[in-house]
Amino acid sequence: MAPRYPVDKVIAAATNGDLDLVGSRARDIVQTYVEGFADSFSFASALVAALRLEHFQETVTLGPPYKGEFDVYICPISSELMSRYGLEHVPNWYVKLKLTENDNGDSVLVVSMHPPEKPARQRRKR
Amino acid sequence: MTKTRRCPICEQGTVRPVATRAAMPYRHVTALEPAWEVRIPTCDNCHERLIDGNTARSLDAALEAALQTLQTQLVNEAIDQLATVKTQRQWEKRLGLSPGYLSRLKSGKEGSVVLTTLLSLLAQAPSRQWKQTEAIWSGRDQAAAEVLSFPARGATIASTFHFQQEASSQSASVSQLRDSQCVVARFEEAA
Ligand SMILES: [Zn+2]
Repeated sequence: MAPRYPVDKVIAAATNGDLDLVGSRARDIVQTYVEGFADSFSFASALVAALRLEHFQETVTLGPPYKGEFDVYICPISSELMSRYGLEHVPNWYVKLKLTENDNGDSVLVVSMHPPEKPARQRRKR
Repeated sequence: MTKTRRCPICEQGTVRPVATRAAMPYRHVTALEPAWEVRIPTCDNCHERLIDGNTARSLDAALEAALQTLQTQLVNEAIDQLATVKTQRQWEKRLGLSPGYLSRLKSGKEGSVVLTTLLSLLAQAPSRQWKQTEAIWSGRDQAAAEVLSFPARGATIASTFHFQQEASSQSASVSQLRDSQCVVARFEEAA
């Protein structure tokens, strides 16, 4: 199963800074893991920019108000990211996102970002 | 973000900047009201907010300013409360702070989350905490505290203890205190 949104486009948008974090999710991250909203945004951008196809888990739909499909990844973070944000105790992150458009073109909407609640499942090979 | 756009969440509403001073988590503070209004892209249909890079930086600037104000306010309240039982200088000495440090904290020229927290805790019961901090710094060993509180010879032994402290600039050990107690006991026996 392939992601709904091409991972290279997702990475390119995040690398450009074309990314939005849903407000409540950004707040959760600030509350628990990082110092402020700028850290929350830059960590999200770095995390999404580091996604790889092998981290993809599944494509899901969500209840209201969320429309459209969302790709789920469970991604290990680099030791550099761990030490920059003091996240040595959280090596893996669950990310749920979709690719949308803004004035610049592609833009990533991150609707979930937290440590995985259950271990990553092995992705089935096609 | 200054322009409007279609909401990527509900795909129905329009996202436009809305000025708000809603409380947010920031650093160690659970809910802090930004010092000024921040324009956050918000959907007019699902009412979700979107945090992009510019919004995140604007929020942090307004929250940092609010945090400084809050910290100065907490420190002022705490120091005023502490000053009802001992002078600022006495508290500075007890906490190992340089002369005038508490005044600098009050003016907002210095800031420390740890000190603000400590002072606020002390200020909840200043009189009791003064005694507690005295107990903390009178010696780590329970035996030392017991020797010092021995009623018949306490004053003599305490004097010996302070003399030894001043002479060596170090805390007297329990064995030293026990030796002192023996000396006092022998003196009393001889008398
Ligand atoms: Zn919406």
